[in-house]
Amino acid sequence: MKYSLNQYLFLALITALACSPDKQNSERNTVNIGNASIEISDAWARPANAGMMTAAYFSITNNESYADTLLSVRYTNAADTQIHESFEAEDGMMGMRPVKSVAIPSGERVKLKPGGIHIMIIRPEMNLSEGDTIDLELAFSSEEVRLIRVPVRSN
Amino acid sequence: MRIFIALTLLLGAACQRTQVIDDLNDASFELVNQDSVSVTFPDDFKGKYVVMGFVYTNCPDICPLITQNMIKIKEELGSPDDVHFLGFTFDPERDTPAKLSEYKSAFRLDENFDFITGDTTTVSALMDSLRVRTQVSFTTTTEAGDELYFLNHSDKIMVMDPKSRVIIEYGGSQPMVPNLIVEDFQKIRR
Repeated sequence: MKYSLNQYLFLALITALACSPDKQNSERNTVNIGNASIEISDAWARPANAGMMTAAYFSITNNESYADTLLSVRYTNAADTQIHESFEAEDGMMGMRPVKSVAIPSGERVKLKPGGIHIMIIRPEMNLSEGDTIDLELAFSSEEVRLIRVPVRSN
Repeated sequence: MRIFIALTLLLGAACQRTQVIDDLNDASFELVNQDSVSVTFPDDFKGKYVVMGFVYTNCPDICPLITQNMIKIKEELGSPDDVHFLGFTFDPERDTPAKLSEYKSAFRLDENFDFITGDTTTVSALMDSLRVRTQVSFTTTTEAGDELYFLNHSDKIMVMDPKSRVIIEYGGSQPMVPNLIVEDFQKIRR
């Protein structure tokens, strides 16, 4: 199988991201690998110690002419990663519920944020400290799988 | 005219008085902090203001917002010696002192900020007395096969005065809450 130079570069970037350790220098911006049809920005994850619970947040912009859907998020160094939503229950209590998917309409931006839809990272295998980064794999209904590098910070 | 001025002054003075939301003077709860040190609440904190939040460590979103708001209050007040910060868990079965110690270390908090747990009966009684409610919302099974439960819960930050009276209460996770509490605090301490 022959690859073009661009394909080689793309594969090299994916490989470098996948093989690199989680502990990296602090990066304020999300690192996106993939084409620009789906753009991920403003990503961050809250610090947590190993074995605890934390959350990641980001914005998704759909630059395509068709709707897309975020189906799942995976962080390989945790017991599980799920999409959840915080909400205010009728009795004034705050609650959380699982979300099967997140619709990203064409030309729109959907923000995952504290107090709303978020990515719950269950029991990370190592401490996630301010300045670290984690790699998340995002699967979309368009069959696109995006790998993003997310900085760990307090807010 | 003089009567009107006198009435206005009286009304103003009345409005300046601290409103007591809950009086905890007759209460006493035997608890422990994240270092397994015994804590008698509220007796151990008489003479200090106490900023109190209510969290559980398996909560990834709302409870960290409450904790983060408490940290902002602490920073904006300038970490005064006469104000202590307490994060009470309402999930004592899972939130052991060791878990709370991990939680505290993840937020890089100092000695003036403690997380509190205890036996389930005592914690439940404390939550009742402070009107903090919880309810299991759903359970999930991780890819590794572990079952986890999550809680719906009250969202509160309160301030207790040096006489063990709750005098300030707001929704704990809302972004404007640190400013509101700091403003109230400054008025009360004048």
